[in-house]
Amino acid sequence: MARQTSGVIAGIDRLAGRSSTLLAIVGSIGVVVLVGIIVVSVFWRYALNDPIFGTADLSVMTLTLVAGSAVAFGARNGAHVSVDIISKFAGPGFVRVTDVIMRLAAVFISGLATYALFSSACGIEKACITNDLSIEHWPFYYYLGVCLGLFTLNMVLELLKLFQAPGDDQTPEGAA
Amino acid sequence: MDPTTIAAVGFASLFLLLLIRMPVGLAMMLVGTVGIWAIRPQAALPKLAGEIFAEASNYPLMIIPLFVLMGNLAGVSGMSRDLYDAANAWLGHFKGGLASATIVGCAGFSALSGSSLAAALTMGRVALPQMQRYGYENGLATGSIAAGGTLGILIPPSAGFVIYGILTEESIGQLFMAGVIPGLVLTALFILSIWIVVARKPDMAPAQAEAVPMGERLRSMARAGWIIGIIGLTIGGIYSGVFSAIEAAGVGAFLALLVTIFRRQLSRQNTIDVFKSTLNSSGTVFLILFGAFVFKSFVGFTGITYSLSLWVEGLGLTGPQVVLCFLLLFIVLGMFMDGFAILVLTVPLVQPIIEPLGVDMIWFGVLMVIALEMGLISPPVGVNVFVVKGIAKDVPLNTIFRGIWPFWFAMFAALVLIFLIPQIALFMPQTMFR
Repeated sequence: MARQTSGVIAGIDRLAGRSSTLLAIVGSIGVVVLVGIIVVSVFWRYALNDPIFGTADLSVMTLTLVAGSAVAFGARNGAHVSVDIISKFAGPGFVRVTDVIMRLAAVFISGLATYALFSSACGIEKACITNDLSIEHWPFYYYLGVCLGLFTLNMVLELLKLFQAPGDDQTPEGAA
Repeated sequence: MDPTTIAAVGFASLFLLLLIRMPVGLAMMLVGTVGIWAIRPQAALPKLAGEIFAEASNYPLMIIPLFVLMGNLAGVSGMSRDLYDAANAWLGHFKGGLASATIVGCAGFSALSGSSLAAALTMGRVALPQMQRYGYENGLATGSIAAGGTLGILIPPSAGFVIYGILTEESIGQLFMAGVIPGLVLTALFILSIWIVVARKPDMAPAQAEAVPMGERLRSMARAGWIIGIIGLTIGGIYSGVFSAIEAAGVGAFLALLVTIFRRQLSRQNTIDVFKSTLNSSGTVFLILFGAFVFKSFVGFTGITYSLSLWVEGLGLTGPQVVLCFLLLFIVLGMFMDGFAILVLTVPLVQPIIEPLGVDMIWFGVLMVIALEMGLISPPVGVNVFVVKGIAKDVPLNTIFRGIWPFWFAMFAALVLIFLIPQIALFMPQTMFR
């Protein structure tokens, strides 16, 4: 039974890993696009004396993709900053308990943020648009929701990892 | 419960969550959301989603991924090594010269990367084997790398200044310029510390080596021309008003990419590593900012900052006295907490207290960043020290911490100097093109 459960967790973990990689590709392309937009707009302004209309809008919406991807990818790679004082003063058993509490709290807030992003997504009906090109915000809210959702999934996997029996090697990999 | 009590409970809960190792951004997000819900329930979810979207689409924050990308490209293209070699050619023959060259190399790399960890890691990999080969005492060798790395958040571009600028709504360009002279002063103080250390204990470093011929020195400078050129263009561009800080980041990243391609270093593996590292570092900052702004809204809802500023006013303290108190607090907090965490936790509380007292927020930003830098190398959780420990596996942690102290005092001296002579920080922002 435990082995079956571990197999399911490992399957979900693989899926989360692939999704993180996909988001990382989107984020990396986004970073390159940001560089491109800035270089082109600077060149147009100075070399051709003709500022391009709407580049700021394109930049900030691209940044949304980069930020969301980066946060989700960072969760997979243990990139998020935490303050580790407790392990210097408390024993491993106590730290394990506090880690469970911490992960539960992390799952709660990241899950709530995911829900909030999906439920608060707005578009032209509430004037949620960019200044120049009137790009609607809602698809980007959804994208951030997906990223935070993946973040939550990684937190859940980390939580399950804490509960897995010692010696079981089919644990989720990576993560914060 | 009245809002002040809610604020007190919120801060206590936040420290508890941080204590149990919750990621800083998530802890602030949780406390902020629950706090807003306790005061105005219907505002909690829209505020949570709104702040996340607002920060993810915050135009000035484009600087973060772009400068991180630039720093990573400088690492894989070999530009950071060129800089170290040039510094070594000019300073290496002095007693303690390799350690001084490491400091200069870190300062140069810091001008391409806003991260202290990246500076310590990149320069450490290049400099540590050299110093160990020439018989430098381990404490001095590792201490100079860990301390040199801290220049990353003072010398522009600096992730610390970007976050401070976003939180206080100060100009990031001006903050960057404010970091230039203090960064150079601190670099000089670090080198002075090395000279004092080797003068007091000559066995800490090998005897003076033969000077590198002038021709070789000039050739090494020419090889480092790319990195020096990019630094000059980005910082000079911001100072002269040719670029905004964001444009400087984009142009700098583009040039670093061109150099990497030109040097045929953009292999598939390097490309993957560069973008992975860029996303990881950017993700760290963005999550902290998501949480910080939800928390900042909560603090605003409670009105605690107004109560605190009235209390400080009642004490009759002057602006510089309050600044001094906060700096001491940051130095102490730096011993236990991450610098970014201190920044996002304290700035929303500190700003409303010191701004009405006439404190220049650019000057305060520089002082705060130096105080946070001290935390990066202070025991027991000095992050840079652990980064260096990762490179110098054979050197005990105690030896690294022992080697840190001369540099810690150099930072303290810089802090005192800038506190007493604010123009060290304010000269460039006041004279730059705006």
